Amino acid sequence: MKKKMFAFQIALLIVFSVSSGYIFLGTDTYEHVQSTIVSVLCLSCIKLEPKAVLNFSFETANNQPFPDFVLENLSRGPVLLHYRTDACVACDRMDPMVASLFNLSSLDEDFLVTVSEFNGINVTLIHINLDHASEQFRKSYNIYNILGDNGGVPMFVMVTLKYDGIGVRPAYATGYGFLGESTPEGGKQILKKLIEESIAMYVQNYMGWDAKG
Amino acid sequence: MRLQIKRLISQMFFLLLANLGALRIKTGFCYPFFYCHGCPAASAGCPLGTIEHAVYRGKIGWMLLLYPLLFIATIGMVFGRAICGWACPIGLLQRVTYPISQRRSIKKLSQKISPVLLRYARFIKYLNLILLVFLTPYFIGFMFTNICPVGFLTGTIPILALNYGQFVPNQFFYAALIIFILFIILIVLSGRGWCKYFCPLGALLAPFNKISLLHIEIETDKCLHCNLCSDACPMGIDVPNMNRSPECILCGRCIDACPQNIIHFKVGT
Repeated sequence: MKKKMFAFQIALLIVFSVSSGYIFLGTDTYEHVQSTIVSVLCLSCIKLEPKAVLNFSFETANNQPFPDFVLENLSRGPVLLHYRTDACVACDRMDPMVASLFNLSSLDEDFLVTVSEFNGINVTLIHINLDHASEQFRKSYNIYNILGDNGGVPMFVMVTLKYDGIGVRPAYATGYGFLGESTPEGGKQILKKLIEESIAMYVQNYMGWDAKG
Repeated sequence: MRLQIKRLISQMFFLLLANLGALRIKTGFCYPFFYCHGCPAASAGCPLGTIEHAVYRGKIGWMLLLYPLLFIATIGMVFGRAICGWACPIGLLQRVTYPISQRRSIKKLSQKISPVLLRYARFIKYLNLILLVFLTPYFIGFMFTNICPVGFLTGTIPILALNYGQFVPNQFFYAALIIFILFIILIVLSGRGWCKYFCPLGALLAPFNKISLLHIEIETDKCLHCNLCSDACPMGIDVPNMNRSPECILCGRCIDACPQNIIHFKVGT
């Protein structure tokens, strides 16, 4: 009886360890946990929200250049990057707010690029679910995550053009959660103001921008 | 070296391991114990958070779901709930609060609660696991980690302390704060109260005690029934009759307490 029990224990151990080893070595689950769950905080889970300081700046969070997909879209108007992950209550609550600003019924897709007109200017929304995003889009999160380890999702990045004293360059402002407001509706109003401000800056500076430079 | 000193060294070692993120070491592993990946120094993911991530709103990510479950199952098959006794940082915290819970005045207070009620209260951790870690994230998108007291202790408080004035509470903060205060009261009033009654990870590891390779063996035929082992047990187990109890965290206090030296760790059946 003891031998049978021991054989059963060893058999179960082999099944569990081999299956676990397969997931670890044979799939991208380890990278997924590392790049999203461990590295991208869900703000609902830490029960906090960063205070919003929505200033436009030129230097990125990790000193990497603006990604190509952002610069390409910037040539037709300001760009709003919207990052979320699968399991994020604050993201669930902000999604409808973003969707309504861009006249969408919902934001269920894991990745979406859509253009909407605000005051006669095109604004591009790039909605990225980091749990399902390709490397290029995942990396862009770190480029704009000004809070580093303390940053999290939902994260909003407004990219527009700004004069730096020498020439016109792309600039961005990053906000998190409900953008400093206590409700998603309040966050929507801040986001709307941010879009309007970015449009004004874009209109003012577009003529001086050399997209290829 | 005494067993309890070895255990303390082991707990300190795992606490350091859990905080390797302070050295910029951020891995894609899941902790086999309770610790929040929201901690600024976290080096791995919370297994419960990963499970919630995998089942959130009905979109099941099978690999992500099986990853922490199989990892914990592998460790559980070898060590059972020794993880709770020898590795978990929250176990270490409760080790600190345990002597307070053993003061006569506090013991008198906790003895007023019906033992039957306490016996059934141990099932709450299984309910926590099933309801708050699997079902509510799956069906309504509400997660245990949103109100988790361990997350509050190891994630929220350090972030607030290190970034004073830069964060504001969100919708879950005050609920989590109340639960955190109750958690502190619980572990002060009841030795290992969190492990006994509420820990979902303990619930996940508990069944493995029945089949794990490492377990505690008692030579019952030589037992004097002095009950010193049961008195020493922080989990409140009737040690001579425990028979691979799912509640046992293999801390070894019963081994130290036994005057006959008839309680041992054993590997195998």
